[in-house]
Amino acid sequence: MNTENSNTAKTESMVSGSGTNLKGNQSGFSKKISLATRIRESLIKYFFAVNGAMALIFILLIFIFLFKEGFRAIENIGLMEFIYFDRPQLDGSYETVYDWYPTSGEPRYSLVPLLLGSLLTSIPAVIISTIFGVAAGIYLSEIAHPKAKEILKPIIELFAGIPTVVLGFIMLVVGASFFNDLLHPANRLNAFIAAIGLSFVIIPIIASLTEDALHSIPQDLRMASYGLGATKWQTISRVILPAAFSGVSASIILGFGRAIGETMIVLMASGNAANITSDIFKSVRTMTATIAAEMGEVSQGSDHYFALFFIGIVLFTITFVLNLIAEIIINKMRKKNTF
Amino acid sequence: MKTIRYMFLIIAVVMIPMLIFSGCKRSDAERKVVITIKGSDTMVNLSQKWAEEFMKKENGYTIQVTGGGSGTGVAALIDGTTNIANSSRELKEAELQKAKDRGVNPVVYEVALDGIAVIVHPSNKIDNLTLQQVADIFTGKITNWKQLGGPDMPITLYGRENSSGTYEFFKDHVLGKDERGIANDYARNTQVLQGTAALGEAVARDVKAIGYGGVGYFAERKDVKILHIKADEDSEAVAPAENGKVDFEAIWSGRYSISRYLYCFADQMHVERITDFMNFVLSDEGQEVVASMEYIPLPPEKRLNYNDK
Repeated sequence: MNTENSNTAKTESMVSGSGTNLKGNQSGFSKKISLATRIRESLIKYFFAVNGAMALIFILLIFIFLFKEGFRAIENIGLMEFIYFDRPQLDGSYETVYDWYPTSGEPRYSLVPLLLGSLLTSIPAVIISTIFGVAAGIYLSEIAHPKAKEILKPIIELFAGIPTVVLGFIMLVVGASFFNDLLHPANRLNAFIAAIGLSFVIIPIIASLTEDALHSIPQDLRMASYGLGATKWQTISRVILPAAFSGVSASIILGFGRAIGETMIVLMASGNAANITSDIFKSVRTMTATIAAEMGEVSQGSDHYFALFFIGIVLFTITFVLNLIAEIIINKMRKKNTF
Repeated sequence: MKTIRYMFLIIAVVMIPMLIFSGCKRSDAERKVVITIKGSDTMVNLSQKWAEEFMKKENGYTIQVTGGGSGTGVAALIDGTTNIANSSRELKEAELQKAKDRGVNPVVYEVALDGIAVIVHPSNKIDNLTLQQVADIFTGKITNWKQLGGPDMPITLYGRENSSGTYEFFKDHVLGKDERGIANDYARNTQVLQGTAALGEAVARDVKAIGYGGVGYFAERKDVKILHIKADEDSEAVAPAENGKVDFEAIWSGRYSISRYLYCFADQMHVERITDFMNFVLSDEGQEVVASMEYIPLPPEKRLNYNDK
């Protein structure tokens, strides 16, 4: 993370540097710079400033839109209906159900099965990705020959760039059949298949961030450890990893955020049955897949439409909190590691 | 500087023809008769295709098609904001009354049929089911093929997303109502697939599977088996497709029970505006479009001869 710090410092100095250069030019060499050039320079400056402001404005607008539409759902449907529904029975009693049936004759909007589905795909995905991602990060940072690292790191990062719809399709057609023959799960498309697909996206994220975190550990620590007679493995497991613990955990949290928010893979590979289950080999339905599958044909302005926006708010809040935690951890670590 | 000049050139080259052509289009549209079609999402693609084919034949028309659901279409017709309302159901009593109050006299056209096949994996030994059994399977009362005389193997349900027309139709038509009079829902463990194609693929790969979808789509497929359906215990088992071909006769006669008519409604007052289009829809040519879109065309006696107009 030190490198990143110095990077930002460098860019800052560059920005201010170019600023002073420009001023210097204007005062010192003003005769050599034509009016047209100066106008162009200032236009370009404003162009970038406007672009920066636009990003902020758009994010704010998305915020406002999402919350405006989503809160209509609470007005129209009621907050508790998003958790359970009391289904009237013939004998006048009520049965409490946790169902997602927004278009039923008796609409039910419980988010419990969807939340369960999201967790049941993303938690296994994060567990798998942590094992492989952290290992890959350790290898890249501590073990790999610099030349091997030079080749491997871009390849791993390239992995994160595979379109998720392609990964979803591969899991749907090839992966699901393979695991169906191997494990004979209850459903051919299930949470486990989706988790494997998600891992392909999250492993590169965790690997790359772990590598950064380990790389930022000062060389002195390694040298001191070797000096005390520790082997390579002892150094990694007892010194480097504990020192970089916060950075590694931040990478895992970021990976988790990505897993919760990922849509295409779970939409294609998880089977999308709104089961209430803890069985990883059963089909589940995630929040993201629900929005993606139903938003296309829902009639605008209906309760169902607002309910989908409410799912968006829940999703947004979860990923926002996860990213916030990761950001706080990374910032703390930066301060700690700056000796 | 040079690159910027090139960029301007490229922008100019792209923009100028666009401006010219968009101008042309607008002036053309003013002279054309505009027909708006609104309603059933099931019929959007079908209407779009009809509109395309019709506009190819007749120059004087511009046809705009939007979805929104059968109810939306009918409401728009009553409000006078659309010329044709697409609907996958008949008019409701309340809608007729409302139309009467507004002075709208709806004309009903039956324009096509929609048949839903129930499909299983080809290795499945079961050939026919009663409607009641199909309902019990999809509502989750029957969960094992053993209960139907098959092997001891759990049933995996495959269905469509809850906003699709097929989902709605199959639910209304097959699943029935519970003792409180509220329409039954699909079992919670029904897996949801995006579109009939994905559903076919999933059923073809899963020996435990059962699913449903438009007949036209599955008729020619060898990797799924279309079940014979009995309306009740005593009636004969009928499949909507035999030997790779949709059995139109079975659907037209109503012997195959999971089918429905698709309708277009129009206002009697402005019927001449749409007559040519409706004549095309009801002609052999229009009905070929229906077959190509995986719906069931009308029986020959209900078609019109377009050239006689």
